[in-house]
Amino acid sequence: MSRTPPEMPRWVKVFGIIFIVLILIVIGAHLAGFNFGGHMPHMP
Amino acid sequence: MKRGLRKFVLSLHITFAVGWLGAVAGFVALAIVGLKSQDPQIVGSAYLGMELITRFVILPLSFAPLITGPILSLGTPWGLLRHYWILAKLLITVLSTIVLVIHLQPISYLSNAAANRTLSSADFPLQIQMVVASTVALIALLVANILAVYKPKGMTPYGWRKQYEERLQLESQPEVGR
Repeated sequence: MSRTPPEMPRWVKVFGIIFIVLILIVIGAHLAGFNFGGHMPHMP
Repeated sequence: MKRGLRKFVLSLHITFAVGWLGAVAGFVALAIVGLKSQDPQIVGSAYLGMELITRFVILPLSFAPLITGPILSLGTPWGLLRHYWILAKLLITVLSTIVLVIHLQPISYLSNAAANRTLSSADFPLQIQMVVASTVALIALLVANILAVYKPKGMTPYGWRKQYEERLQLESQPEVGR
């Protein structure tokens, strides 16, 4: 067994990139005014 | 963990995870009907159904795998933080639950609004948000289930270190029976 940890698999990198993009989209949408519930005309 | 108990927890975990996926698929269908239908009665029924499914099916099913998953992984050699696929599943489950909890209020709002009046153009962004958020959640849960079936290779540095330590420990133990 090697003494150094194995490199991160490619699927983990792809997963990480998709995850970061999704987080950025949510933050972008939030900043653009599509905040969760914030655009509700009036709360009961 | 004993074999019988492990099988029982695994059965519960699969049931909760697949049930959650199915319930979210039902939610997506109702969100699309609520968005596309012109009939106020159908729209009201769709959003009422969405709220009921969310509170009594999706919400409990989203928290249940957060209990059975860690029990299962910590009770077996897989561990909770040793493999990337388990970490990814945990991340998907935690985030999906957070997104669901964040959307509880807007779901209630739509249900109440559709029951009392015809929805206006001001409600449209919220209706769109329901379709988009639930579709993303459906895809995320599908990915989580695929990860659980395929178990793609890849050990975290923590998992690798633990395995390395365990091997060193085994090698340093005096062999019995020679």
